Amino acid sequence: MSDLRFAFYVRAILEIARLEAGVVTEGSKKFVGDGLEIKHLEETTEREVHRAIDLVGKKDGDMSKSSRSKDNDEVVTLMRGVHIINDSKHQEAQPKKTNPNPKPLLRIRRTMGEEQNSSPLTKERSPFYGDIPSHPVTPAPDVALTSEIDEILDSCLDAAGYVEFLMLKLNEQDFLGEGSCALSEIVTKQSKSLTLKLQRSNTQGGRPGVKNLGTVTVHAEETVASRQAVELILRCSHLNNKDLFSKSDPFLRISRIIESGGSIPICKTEVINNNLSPTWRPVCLTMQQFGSKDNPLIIECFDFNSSGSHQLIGKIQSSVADLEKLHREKTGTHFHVASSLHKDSMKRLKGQLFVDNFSEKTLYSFLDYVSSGFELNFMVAVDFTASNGNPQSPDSLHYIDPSGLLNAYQKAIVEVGEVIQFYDSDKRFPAWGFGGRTMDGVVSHCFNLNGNASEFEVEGVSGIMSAYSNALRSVALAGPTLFGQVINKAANIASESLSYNSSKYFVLLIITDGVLTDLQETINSLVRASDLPLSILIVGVGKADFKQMEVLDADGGKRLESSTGRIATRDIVQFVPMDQVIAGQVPVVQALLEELPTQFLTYMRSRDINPLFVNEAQAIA
Amino acid sequence: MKRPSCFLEITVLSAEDLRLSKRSIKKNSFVTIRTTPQTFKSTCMDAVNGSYPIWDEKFELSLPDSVTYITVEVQCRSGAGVMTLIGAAKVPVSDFMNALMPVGYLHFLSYRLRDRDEERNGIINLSIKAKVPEGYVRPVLPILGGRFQAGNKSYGGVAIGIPVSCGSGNKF
Repeated sequence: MSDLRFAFYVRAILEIARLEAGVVTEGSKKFVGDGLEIKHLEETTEREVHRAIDLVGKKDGDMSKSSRSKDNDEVVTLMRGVHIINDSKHQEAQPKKTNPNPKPLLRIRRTMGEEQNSSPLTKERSPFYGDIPSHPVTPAPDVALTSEIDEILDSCLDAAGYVEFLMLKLNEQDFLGEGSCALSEIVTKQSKSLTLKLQRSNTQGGRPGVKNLGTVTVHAEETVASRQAVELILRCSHLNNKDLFSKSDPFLRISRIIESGGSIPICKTEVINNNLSPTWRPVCLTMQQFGSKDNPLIIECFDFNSSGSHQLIGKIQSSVADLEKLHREKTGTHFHVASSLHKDSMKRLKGQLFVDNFSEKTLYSFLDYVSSGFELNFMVAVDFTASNGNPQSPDSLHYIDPSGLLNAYQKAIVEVGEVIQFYDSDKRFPAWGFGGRTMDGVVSHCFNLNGNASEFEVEGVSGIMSAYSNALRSVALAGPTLFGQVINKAANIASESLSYNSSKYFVLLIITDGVLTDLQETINSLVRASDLPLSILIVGVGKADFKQMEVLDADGGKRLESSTGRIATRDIVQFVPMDQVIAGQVPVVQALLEELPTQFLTYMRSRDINPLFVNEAQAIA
Repeated sequence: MKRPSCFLEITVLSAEDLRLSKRSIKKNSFVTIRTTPQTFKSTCMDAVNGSYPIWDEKFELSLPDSVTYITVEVQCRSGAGVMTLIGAAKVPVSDFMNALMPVGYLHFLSYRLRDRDEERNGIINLSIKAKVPEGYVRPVLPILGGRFQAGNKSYGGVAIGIPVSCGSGNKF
């Protein structure tokens, strides 16, 4: 058994979707992982998983049942308990036995079994498998012992989660070994494949780490459809007036009709006040959202009402192909309403919809960028203000528990750092403190955490952790709380890097317990940084009132304004209070990294920066 | 030390929440960009997007070395043909040419507009890219003096040299 080599191919459907600013996508579940925004329409998920199961000869809907592949009795894949992020059951999906350092992250657990198959690779591939181009981990002919499992498992994997594999010889249910990794580790590889050594833990029986238990190769890829998108500029004319004292305040809602007959809203435009012939800002529909060009869509025009009960002006049944035709022929199509006189008949309105622009686009996903060599460079800043309490006292937020239990600061560093580190190739992280009195007796609002005057970078997440605990011994907690200098420092690093490299994006994690002394100072720095490849994650620890931070995190739609009248180019801040997160059962890392891929993509797309492979391909052509 | 004269590629993207006497404007707003009182470009009038106009018009304007800010004015033409200033903003040159960033970086910048009474009135969105065209390098050199000789080869692409002079831009 020791010569067994396994190759598993897991095709992760990572449905990356862009959440347009201000567009609410109702009826959809949003799954978010580390650096990945995975949006999933519930219907799609189940259907696609079932379809995959159908294709590999499994019974639809029975995911826990083991079965055998078509042409090889020996090779069996058992898929058990796919736990999707946001699933309330995810807690129980964390197996205690499998990971020596249990991490407080979501896991998707997948159990598979297979037995060795030494026959040559003559199997017929399922059509589904054949669709996937040039598989990077296809076994070379000399690897006779590699049995290729003729199955592709579709599932949604949570990128913040850990993927775990248990190898079981199905006949006897013998445990062969297991391995786990963070999904960010796989997706940042250029091949999007990662080979893990199988291990056996003590509780499973057998001696750990002695035997060669083989390896498992995991490959993740996105559905290609998610890159395709169309951008439309929609205009209406002669809309009916619904308001008494002024004109209608129209907006459009586009929904996709699903097979079961209902419809799912996929896109909403902004509201244009007091206008019966409005032109909306360009809307972008991804293939993920509209399905196919011929999939029927319903376009409804509403009169906005601040009470929330928007009045329907009219609707149109259409499809992306129809909209393309409208654009080509420069014609409009009339809105309809249900007739008040005859049931089941529709009354044609004077109002028409026009498509002023129709362009097809390829939207590269976050994964396209990171796997082609784009990096997220991680930086940390820790609050050393006195409000944290004396670090020697156990009730201090900075108290380092001799038992090894992590305090809130350490937790935030580890949880975010462990996910983001894979996106950073050299794993050297700038680390600062602010609001503390350093050895020279001066309060500094940006000092190097490692105590070194010239070098602010530390090695790895462990380097941040040790620099942090050392700094607690040498730096006296003081105040006030000012973020400006730390943000400026990070912004300077980000802008300097632009001269050398446009494939770097920076992520500054600020961990703080408190209320900012000078909010405007921070806003000024943020506004200046908003034009740079930089995002700022703020974790609030302790019990303070974090209302201010919500202002910085411009999710309410209000853009930050500096004292000189400059306005933030985009939202670069994500704020998460640690305590609320724990209470709400959403892992802190998920809540914190939620907006990061969108922020990254907004930056790259607005500047027409493409993933590296695209530029290479163009250079060759 | 003076910043060299150069060209700016300015795209007037859009504006948000424009008002006249507290009421949202309906149409016919346009933007004038000035690098000097005599050097200016104006957009067409936006007829359809009301108080959230979209222009998306690109201009090239020269930026003399002594200029420290450019002005952006949003105006509106009434039915009778009268032009009214809705709001203006001053864009410091240091916001798009500064010590750390390479020349040629595409800046997306937004500013608060203020009317004649300095009241807040909407937001203007621009993108600005500084350009030093090939043919323009030579006349610039005497201004630069000998200090940037090393950097002048890469002038059109990656910026070397510019940052230092821009850093002192605030002084004049």
